[in-house]
Amino acid sequence: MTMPLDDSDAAPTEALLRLYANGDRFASRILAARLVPRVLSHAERLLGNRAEAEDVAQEAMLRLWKIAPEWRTGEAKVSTWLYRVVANLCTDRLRRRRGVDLDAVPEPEDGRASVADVMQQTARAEALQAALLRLPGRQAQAVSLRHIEELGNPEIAGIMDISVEAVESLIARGKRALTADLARQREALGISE
Amino acid sequence: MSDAPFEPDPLERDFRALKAHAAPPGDDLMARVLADADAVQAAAMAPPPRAASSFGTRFVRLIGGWPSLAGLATAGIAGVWIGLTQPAALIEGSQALLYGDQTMALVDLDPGFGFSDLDGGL
Repeated sequence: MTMPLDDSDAAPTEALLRLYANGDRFASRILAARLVPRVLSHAERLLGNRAEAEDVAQEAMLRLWKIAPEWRTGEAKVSTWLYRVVANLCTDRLRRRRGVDLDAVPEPEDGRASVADVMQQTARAEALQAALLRLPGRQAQAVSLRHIEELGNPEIAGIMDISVEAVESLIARGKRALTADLARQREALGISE
Repeated sequence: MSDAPFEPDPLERDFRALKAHAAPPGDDLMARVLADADAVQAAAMAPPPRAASSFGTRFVRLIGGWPSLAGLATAGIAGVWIGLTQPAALIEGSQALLYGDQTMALVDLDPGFGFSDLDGGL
């Protein structure tokens, strides 16, 4: 689908949301093109499952469409609100998943024989994704928001409803755990340092 | 605060790889999201459904709306009140008119007005 993105790229998200609430159909196209990739990416990092992440992205955007008429400009950033919704939806899904089948967490593709054929880049991405899923949920969320979505710590603190210091602590612990986990995987998968 | 970028390390390369690995949303997802957007927007912009008109509603409309109904109610209440309280001035006046021994006459102050032409005048 080709998204008509021109100068409207510069329009503030809050203003676009207001336009949408006032009946502008074009505004929803710009909002979707701007927000869905971020929402989907974050959900995929937290869930490790593309199909589920798409469902979460659709549900999060649906909640945004519904709240648009009541949105109060200046109260919160749309992206902050949206990341929070995504995190809650993912947490619900992870809770349902937990206890049912812990092994459902995707592992990096097994098969040492084929590792040589897998691009290093893909192997790295898959290894990190798997390691992220093994982290405690809050650590994974904080690390993903900081290093994948590239948000600042204050915004992450707003999304997670904790202090900036708590965000820093979560990220530091998460990265230590990831480093240790990935070191083991690199050795097993033959990924170069 | 640790907003400053981290030193390049294997983990940083992994993050970059994961970002590059992220596939953009597919057409199907975007279509679903936009269909939701259009449906929610259409529902929000639609005028509220009109309630089915009852007999009472149709009667009020028939007599000219709520202002007319209020006038009608006021007149009705005033009639009941007059009937119940029977104001003294009204009773005296009507009794004098009906049962009193006073006589009343109409005086034709202006013969040219025409009363004198009726039944040979008053």
